[in-house]
Amino acid sequence: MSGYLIGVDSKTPELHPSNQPDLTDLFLTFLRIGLLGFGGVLAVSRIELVDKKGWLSEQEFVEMLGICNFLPGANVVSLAVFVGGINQGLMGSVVAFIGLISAPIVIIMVLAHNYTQWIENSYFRASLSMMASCGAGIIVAIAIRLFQELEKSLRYLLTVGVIVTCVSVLGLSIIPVVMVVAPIAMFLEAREK
Amino acid sequence: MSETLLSLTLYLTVLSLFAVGGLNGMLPELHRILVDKEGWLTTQQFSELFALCQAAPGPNSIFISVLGFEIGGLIGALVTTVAFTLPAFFIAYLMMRVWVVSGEQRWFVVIRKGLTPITVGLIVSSAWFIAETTAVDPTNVIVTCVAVFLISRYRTSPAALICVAGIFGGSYELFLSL
Repeated sequence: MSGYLIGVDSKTPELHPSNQPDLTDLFLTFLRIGLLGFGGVLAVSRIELVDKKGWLSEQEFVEMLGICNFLPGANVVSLAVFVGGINQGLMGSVVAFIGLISAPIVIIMVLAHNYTQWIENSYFRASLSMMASCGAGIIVAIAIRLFQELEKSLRYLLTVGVIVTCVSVLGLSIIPVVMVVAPIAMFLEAREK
Repeated sequence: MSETLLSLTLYLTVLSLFAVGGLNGMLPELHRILVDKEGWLTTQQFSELFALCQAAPGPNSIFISVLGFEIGGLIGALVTTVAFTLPAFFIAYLMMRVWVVSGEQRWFVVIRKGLTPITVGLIVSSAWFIAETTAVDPTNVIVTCVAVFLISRYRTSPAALICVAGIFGGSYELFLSL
């Protein structure tokens, strides 16, 4: 299976044949990502896929996520389909996908069953609340890291500034903001070279 | 019940194709259908379950599975999960093929690089939002800051941090109640 991608396009640099994961690797890594993703699995995906496993470069992660943001459904679910499929074809996508959602679904069903009882338990609530705050810290740290890694061109900084101002400061809805900013950003990118 | 599940499946399959940007954008529509139109859930159930999904680990689209579970038990959960994720799965798979085949072509590179600062901006915004919503108490803010510091400075494992935070939350509550 190691020649899967090379057979398609030998120039594709997305390949990291030296650490290409097998199906078990894919399943276990995405299972971990699902279990640790308090407040969203994006930050943990970055840590696992880029920093720990090296299956994607910093740049590939952001670019792939950028494409996944425009696909229907959760972006990290699409990201799992991408990473699984690039490495192990359709089975890879299936395995990564199931790995990502299986554990959270089981946990949430256990919690949702008699959820009123759980919600009233103050120890459980306090524990979950601190895990959520810790999850927030992980996400903030990754957001800072991604920003630091971004090429500091005026064009890029302006785009980040406009998005953050519109979404976080002005509280505008994400979809219309992106629909306006994305074509402009791509137009500027196309003029660059 | 099976008729309910069938129409739920149809709703979710269609909705999933419009869920660009994830679940949050479609919450109002989901609420309109499940609570206002069909009366399968009460508003309180809807919002409590959503809060629970936000607090639990995993992608927040598992909210869909929980809704299915509330409406039709385990089979309900299975049906809603498949209905909501299958179309998105195949679209992502096709797009992955495009990425593999055309990844280095000029038009695709323009899209990839053009979207990069937008993606970073959206992640900064979502970090901002999550930090704000979880900051219910000064202790929570301290935990968040400590996590930011440890991840940035020492690249501490998220698994270890989350376990410690969970244990800390429970024992701090115990300490306060003494």
